[in-house]
Amino acid sequence: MTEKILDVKDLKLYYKTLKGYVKAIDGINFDIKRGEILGIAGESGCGKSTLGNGLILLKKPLNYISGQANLNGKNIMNLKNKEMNTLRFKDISIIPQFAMDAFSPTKKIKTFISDIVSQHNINPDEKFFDKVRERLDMVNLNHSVLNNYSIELSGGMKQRLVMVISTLLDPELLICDEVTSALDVSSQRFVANMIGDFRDKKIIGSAIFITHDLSILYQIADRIMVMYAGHIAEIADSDTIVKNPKHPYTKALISSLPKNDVQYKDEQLSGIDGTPPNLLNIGEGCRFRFRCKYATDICAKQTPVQEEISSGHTLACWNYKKAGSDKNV
Amino acid sequence: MSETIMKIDHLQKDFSIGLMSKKKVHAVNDVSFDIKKGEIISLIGESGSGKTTIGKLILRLLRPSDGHIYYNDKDITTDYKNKRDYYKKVQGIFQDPFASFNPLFKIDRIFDMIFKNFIESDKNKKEKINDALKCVGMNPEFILRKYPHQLSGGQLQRLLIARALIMDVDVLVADELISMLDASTRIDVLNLLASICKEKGMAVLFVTHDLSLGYYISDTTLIMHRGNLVEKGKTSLIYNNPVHPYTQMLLKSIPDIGKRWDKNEKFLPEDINKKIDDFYKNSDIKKGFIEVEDDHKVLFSL
Amino acid sequence: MGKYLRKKLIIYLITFFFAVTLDWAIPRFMPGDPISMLLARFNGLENSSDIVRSTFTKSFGLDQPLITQYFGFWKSLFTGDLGISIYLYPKKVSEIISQALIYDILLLLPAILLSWIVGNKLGARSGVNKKVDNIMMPFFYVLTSSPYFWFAVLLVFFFGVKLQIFPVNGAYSNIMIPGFNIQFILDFLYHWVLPFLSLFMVMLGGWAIGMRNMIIYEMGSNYSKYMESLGSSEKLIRKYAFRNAILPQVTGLALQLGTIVAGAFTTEIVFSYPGIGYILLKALLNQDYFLIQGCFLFIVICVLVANFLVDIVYMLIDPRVRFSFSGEV
Repeated sequence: MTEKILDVKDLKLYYKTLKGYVKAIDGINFDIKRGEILGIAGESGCGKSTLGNGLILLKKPLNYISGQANLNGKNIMNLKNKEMNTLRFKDISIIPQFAMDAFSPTKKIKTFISDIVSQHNINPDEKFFDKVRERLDMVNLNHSVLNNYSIELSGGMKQRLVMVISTLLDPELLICDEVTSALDVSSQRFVANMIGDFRDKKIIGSAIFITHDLSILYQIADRIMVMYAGHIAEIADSDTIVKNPKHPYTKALISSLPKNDVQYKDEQLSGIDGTPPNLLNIGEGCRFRFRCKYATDICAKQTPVQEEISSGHTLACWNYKKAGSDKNV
Repeated sequence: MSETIMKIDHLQKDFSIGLMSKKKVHAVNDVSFDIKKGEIISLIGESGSGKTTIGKLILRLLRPSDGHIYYNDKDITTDYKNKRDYYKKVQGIFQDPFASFNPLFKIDRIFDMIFKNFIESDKNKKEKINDALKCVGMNPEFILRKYPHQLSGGQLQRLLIARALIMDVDVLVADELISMLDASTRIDVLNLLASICKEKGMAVLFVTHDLSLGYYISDTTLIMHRGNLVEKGKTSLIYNNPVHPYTQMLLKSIPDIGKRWDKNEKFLPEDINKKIDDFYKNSDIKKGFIEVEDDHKVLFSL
Repeated sequence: MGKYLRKKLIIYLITFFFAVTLDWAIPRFMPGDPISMLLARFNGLENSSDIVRSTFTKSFGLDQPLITQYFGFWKSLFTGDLGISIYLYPKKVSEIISQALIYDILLLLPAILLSWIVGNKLGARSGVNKKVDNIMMPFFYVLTSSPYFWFAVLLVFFFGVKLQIFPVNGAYSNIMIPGFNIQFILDFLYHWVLPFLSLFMVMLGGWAIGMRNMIIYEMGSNYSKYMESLGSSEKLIRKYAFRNAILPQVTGLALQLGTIVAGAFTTEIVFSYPGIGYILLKALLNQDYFLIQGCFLFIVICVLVANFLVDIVYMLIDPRVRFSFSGEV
């Protein structure tokens, strides 16, 4: 658990628009260790998907501004597309949000697999497909899916198939972008567990699990990183995040989640007033300050820096001490 | 709380699939339940379970293949006139709040149209609108001059609720009302909905796939599986003592914050159908939709 | 699948029935009558004209009640007898059509096929290359938006009148007798160049624009993005995109081929090219019922057959169509 697979330092990724920059990822620091599943949580527009996709496929209009993302000690943000192509799939891979249409409708699954692994100088012979079949067994898919077109498969099957294909070359880091969001609760649990299973069997080195659903992260992530409007609010192991959060945003978010023993007629949960800020040309300052009840003058003037308050527990807030002692959130 | 305002009686809706095939699918199969005044019912199911179809049938967007819906003892499935009168009292809110508003109209115009279409007298119009907006926690001065695209999803959902408030509806069908909203805003919308129900006696049919939110808000829970109503009853009874294997499976797969899933348990979605079939086959003594305890019914065989 | 084809076939038969009925009825609703036109050419004998008129009217069956004429038309249709032309009396309609058809096929088939192939290639090229796109697209737009006859007139003006390189009239020189000899073939090709070019260039623009838009759409699709994330080369992604982008183009091609028999109406008129379009014009001007009927009937049949072929071909090349009718989805 000591070796860092990914080390991100002060990374900035902006969307370039006609009106200026949308600061989607604005100076974030975090790392992922070998064998770890890092969960990234946050509301829509917080930059979690931008981050996941930006790490593997930096495409216009998203622009790399500054900072580093070191994959196995090598900054992948500076790489040319050709060099990056050699890392993709083998070192870093992704299960995209859109598994439902991740396949070309006119190619059989087997052809597709052969074609993409051939790109990495792997001979798609029978021996290779034996391995594919083994993986299909793991996710409980029939071998016959290889001879199907994507249209013949159900949503849940496609989701599992993408999971198998994305991990075929045993990537060191797997990015899972909202893999459970489009699924029914019954398949959700299976798919989420499978990611952990793949990690345990060392098929993948480590994983980033991106979702808006904190309760799923609590189930499978070792550590959880909470993002808000392009900044990191808090990073800690999942028990700490859920049971002992320090950042006002994390606290409010956790307390807004439905619990298994709370009904409206007995006890009322509360949400967070207001909406996230527009990130276009946004200036200095804590971005949560408009919705935060602990906000002070400094929050508007200076962006809070990420600091480690205890081992493995990082957060960015000027007033967390005040917030931390307040039990009535 | 006990006054029944809507009665769903052996409702059936079949769809035929394919271009010309005669094959029929029972989207809704023999479903019966009552909606009482001021009650919040959550209708829970996965995709393809028929939950949305029931909502559409109640809103008269579809015609049932068989069965009846009674509103205040009047059979609305045979009464094809008076649709407007019906819509004065029964309204729907849908998943995508952005699609529910005409993007070219400002909010005040949208509210004006409610009066034009559903409410005869313009008396106290401004007052009524302001009251409703204040009730959903919005500033009328600010909101009425906006276009829909200038508002967030949560705000638009509140406006839809305000709309129902102005019309003083009896039954509100909320189909996946909050699934497009973020965690931090959806709970407020739910609280608002629940408080209105208690105050004004409005009944809500809360159609959702999210069990934990269903638990939080509803008095009564209905569980749907492949068109069948498999379990129905008081929410706390169903969540604490689920009998149907499908309900059990659903409850087990809720990601609960604070309690972790058992990792050793293989959780194959494919297995569940077999389990349900076995359950139907083995229930020799009990047949059909049967009460297992007070206010708790379970489907033992098809 | 068989069910699907059977249903389609029934629809086509119904369409055929109505098309034939209209085909029979419309010429008869035109003001004037063909016999007077014919007689106008024999105006030397004064008193005999009434006798000749009744003879001709009888021999063409135009004295019969309309309903008898209508059923007679269906009867002769199934025996393959399309009647005798009034305008080119006493030539058989079928004979006139088959002679004209040869010229249409020789002119239109190469024009359509070549423009399709070249247009798709050029369109695909500009779809994936921004620089090529910027240079080529204006040309494509000018080509596709110019009417056939206008482009033909331009060619005639420059190459026929100004430069006098190519002949501008007919399918072969007046002194030639049609036959299968080298002299005639060379003469034919010499006359063929300008009409061919006028059709080829205008069609080319349309195909290229269609292909370019489809390629851009497919390259931006989710499966392309997924392949890119897994480190596939641009070449492979292009190949996949092309496979999907070609589908609507195939439909367009088949439909276009079905219109061969209709001739290129305006082009043939500009060049006085003796194809079906040219014959049809003559038939319309002379109210030649039987020739008009014959030409339209032929066009209807060919368009329907082409549509039917599209349905079959589409089932073969697009799995989505195949499976959506077999009830497996």
